[in-house]
Amino acid sequence: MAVFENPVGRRYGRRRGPFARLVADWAVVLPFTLAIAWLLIGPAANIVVDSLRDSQGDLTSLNWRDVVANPLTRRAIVTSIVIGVTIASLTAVIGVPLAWCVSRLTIGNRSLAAAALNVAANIPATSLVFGFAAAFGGAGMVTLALRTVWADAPTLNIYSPTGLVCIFLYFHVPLFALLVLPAMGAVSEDLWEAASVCGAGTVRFWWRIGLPVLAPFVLAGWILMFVWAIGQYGVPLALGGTEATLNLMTLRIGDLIQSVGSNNRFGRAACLSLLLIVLSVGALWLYRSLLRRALRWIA
Amino acid sequence: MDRLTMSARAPTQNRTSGMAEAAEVLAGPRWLRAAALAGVAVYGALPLCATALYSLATVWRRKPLPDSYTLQWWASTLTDPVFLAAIGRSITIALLTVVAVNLVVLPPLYWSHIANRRIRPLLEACALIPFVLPGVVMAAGINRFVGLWPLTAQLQATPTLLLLAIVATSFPIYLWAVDGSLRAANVIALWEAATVHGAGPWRTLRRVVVPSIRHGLAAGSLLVFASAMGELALARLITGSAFETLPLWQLRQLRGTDANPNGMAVSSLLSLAMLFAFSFAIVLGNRGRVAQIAPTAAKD
Repeated sequence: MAVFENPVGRRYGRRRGPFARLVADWAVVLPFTLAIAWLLIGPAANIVVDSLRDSQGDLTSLNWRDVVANPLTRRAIVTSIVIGVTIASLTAVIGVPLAWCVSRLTIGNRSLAAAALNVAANIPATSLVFGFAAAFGGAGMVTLALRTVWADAPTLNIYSPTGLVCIFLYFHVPLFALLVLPAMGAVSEDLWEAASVCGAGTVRFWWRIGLPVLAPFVLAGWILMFVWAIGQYGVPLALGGTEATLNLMTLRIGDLIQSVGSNNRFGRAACLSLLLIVLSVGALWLYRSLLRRALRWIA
Repeated sequence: MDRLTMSARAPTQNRTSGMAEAAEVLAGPRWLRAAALAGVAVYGALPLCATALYSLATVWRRKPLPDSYTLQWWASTLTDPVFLAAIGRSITIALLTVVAVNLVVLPPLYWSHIANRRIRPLLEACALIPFVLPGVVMAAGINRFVGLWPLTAQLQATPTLLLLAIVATSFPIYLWAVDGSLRAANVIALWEAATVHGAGPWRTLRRVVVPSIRHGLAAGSLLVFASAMGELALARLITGSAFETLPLWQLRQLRGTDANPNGMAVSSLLSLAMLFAFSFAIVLGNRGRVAQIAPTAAKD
């Protein structure tokens, strides 16, 4: 337990009082804690307060009633959740085989693949939207190339919800693949050999062993992708999302904060923010409890 | 914790030939895997290729490829004072963010390893907040909260507040990257050895620990730099056009009345080049490991 002794006290060879010890143990974390309390915890708590206050500072439930009664915000909540579920599900369906293929590459190639996935996962929203418009937009490279062989080829409207999903997948799938990549090692050759010695075929192996081992990781990844998708602001903003074309919670929050004139706009923004916070915290709790169970399989 | 880091180790190394065969059967047909990866790579490369062509095209009408090519957009964008000012602001903010994150996060993280383990849960819990809370929510909350008191209200909508907000929301990625390398370097043994030789904890950090985790520090700093450069939600909602960073400039090229797609393509390629360089540098520097990108549930 030498590790936990206070090195400063030991160095000078004298005992310190409990208060001095406390300071020596915790002082170094103080700037960090103050910064977090002031910049993250305070603002988050203030959102809760804001959502229950009118412009005079009195307690009210008007903000919440406005959010629920206003068809615009109601639709935004529904659209955000539908898009989140769609993205998370499609990402899992594409991401699991992708992670599997990457995990079975040789070491050098796997590093390169991981680096490439990292680029795609961190691509800035503005660059991504521009790249999509240049490639798949109405006058995009791929669209034009398609037209030369097939004159009435259907085009993807990147400014529609479908387009948004396609663009989200571009960075959610790599993110998901990087997240579940370590888990792919849990479906090991040992398991496969043991199963085939017992007479299991490929289908039976995957159904009874492979997928059950991977399931908690995939589910945990699904939850994270849902949280990240509903919280996206940059891509919808760069797409020029308006109330008519793209109506999402994050865009509503941004509009409410920046618009002037409308009453109790901060209150309504706070309500929507609080909804996002509750969804995120709940999902994070699920994510951690799932992963704790899943880690039994990675020894 | 380390079990969920992005590891490039093979699941089972030093296989016997029988195992190698089993591995091959388990992995599935090689051609199918290669085709899937190639398909994803092509899909991923298409927007980047289109961006590159846009930055070089003179006119591009009704044909899959531009009519002809020019370097004029590169020259005009790289000499545009508005663009240069925007990229300068972004680089300044990103560099200051890296410095601040190193100063504020590394000491407590180091201390949690060598002296006071109870700091760890605190650090981890704090790192989860920006990890799950959407940037737009943080931006709205921070600007409102700061405005509550006269003393801090003057910070509202200033570049300083933007910097603070970016520091507070981008540190988790640094924390996870450096935490992994502190454990990999066996910092407790290093510290014990240094103490035996009479070095104090901060001298040990400077002279022994920092040199031995330099890859982790570099990876964490690069990730923070890249995320600070690309920060859009905070920049838009905290300062807005009063302090135009690179993403805000790009947004104006995409949507504004003075939209300039070719200039946008040039700046976009610059951002992408930086991202590629950072990603590959991290992977090569860390011997095949990509830094951890998400927290784990393991309690240790």
